Amino acid sequence: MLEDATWELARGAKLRVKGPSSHGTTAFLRLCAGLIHPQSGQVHLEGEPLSPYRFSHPFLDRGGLAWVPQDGGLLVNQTLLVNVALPLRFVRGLSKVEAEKRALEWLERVGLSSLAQRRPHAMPPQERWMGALARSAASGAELWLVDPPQGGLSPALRQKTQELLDSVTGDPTITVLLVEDGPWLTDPPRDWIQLAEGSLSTGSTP
Amino acid sequence: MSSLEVSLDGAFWRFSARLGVGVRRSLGRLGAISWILYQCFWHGLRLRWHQLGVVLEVTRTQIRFTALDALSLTCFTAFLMGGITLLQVFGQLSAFGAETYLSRLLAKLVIRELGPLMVAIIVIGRSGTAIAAEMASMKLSGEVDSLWASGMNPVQYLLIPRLLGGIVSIFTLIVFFGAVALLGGFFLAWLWLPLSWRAFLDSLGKVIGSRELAITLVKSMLFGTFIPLICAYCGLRVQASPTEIPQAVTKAAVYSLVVVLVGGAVVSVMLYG
Repeated sequence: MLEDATWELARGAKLRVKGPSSHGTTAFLRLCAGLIHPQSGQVHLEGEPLSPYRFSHPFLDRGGLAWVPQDGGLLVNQTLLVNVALPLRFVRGLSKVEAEKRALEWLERVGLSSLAQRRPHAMPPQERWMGALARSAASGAELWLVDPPQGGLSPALRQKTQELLDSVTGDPTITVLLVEDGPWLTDPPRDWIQLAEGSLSTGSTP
Repeated sequence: MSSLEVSLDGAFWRFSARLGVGVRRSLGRLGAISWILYQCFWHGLRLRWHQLGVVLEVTRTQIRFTALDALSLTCFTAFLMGGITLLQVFGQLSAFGAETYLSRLLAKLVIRELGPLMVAIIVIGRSGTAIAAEMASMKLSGEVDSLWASGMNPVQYLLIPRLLGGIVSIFTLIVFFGAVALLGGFFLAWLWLPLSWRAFLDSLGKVIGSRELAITLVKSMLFGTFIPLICAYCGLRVQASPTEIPQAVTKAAVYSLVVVLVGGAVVSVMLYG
């Protein structure tokens, strides 16, 4: 996918990841999250390398990463509310009551509070994805890696997603990488990184 | 060197390499399972207080599925096994006028060997295969990735509760199996055979001691640790396709059964040999 590429993501940057279909934009996000590993070379998060043989990383262990994959990646044997509350309990150390209260607030903001007691398999893909967005927003992560849902979003959900991302990622210390896959945001970031023919290039749309 | 020698030489090495592949794969699996066990131990020690609450919640669910939901099947199996074994043993012993050894033989057979083995087989069939299928589908649907990326260590959230749940469940089921097999078996046999309840219980009391408790504990720890670990390992090894799930489940059941048979035999030889 990439050869001889070195790239540093500055704290607070907001970037679109561009690339022709099947050129590995999703794989690039997975690489940044440490879910796949390069055949040679390393990926560092806050100076600490991501290793395939360790089940922990200081940045991930403190809940620094917001991972929003195409299918949401929610636990199917738990309700949506538990899915959103779980990282708050496990990573942030909140009590069950406090975590579920905060999770419900975020579900309300994305319009999913009525589905809080449903399991993800009983929800449409777009709403599963919105649930993952709420989970990430609730966790207060510093680095957002967002892959849009398959099939895109309806105009109403697109507007809601834009509002949520604007409110959460408006903070200058929060870093965002969004895969550009059609017009799924009403106001996408201007800066971009492009993957093409094994190389990386960056730029900005005026 | 003639061409015949060369081809024989090549065939020998190819044959040796083929033998070596199997050994290397088996050692590789053994190494991987040992490594996962080490990770469970290491990350278990690193659990923080608030994480322990979440882990215990998942452990409780595992115990419900593995022990509580399997209790009726275990008791039914134990009742039948105990009764049939007692009838068979009584038939053999009475031919030599050695009926007084009945409870001693039954206790040794059920508590030391039959109970742990049957419970392990039930747990592999009910829960081990479920763990393998669950892990495989979680891996394929990206749930394991999401846990890792959200800062929820998959070893702490997925593996440690299954390991703890396995140990507690198997110990509980072995105790129930032993009790039902001995008492229920006696009841079933008492309907047809001239057995004295008091003599049977007195004799049992003399046979069952700390050694039996020790073997139950050791086998519970062994089976309870390795059945969930092996099944989770097989499930988490799937790569891309849902067609790998049934293969993972089959492998999980076979490897677990091999470990249970070999491990059970080794423990019995070490403690009683």
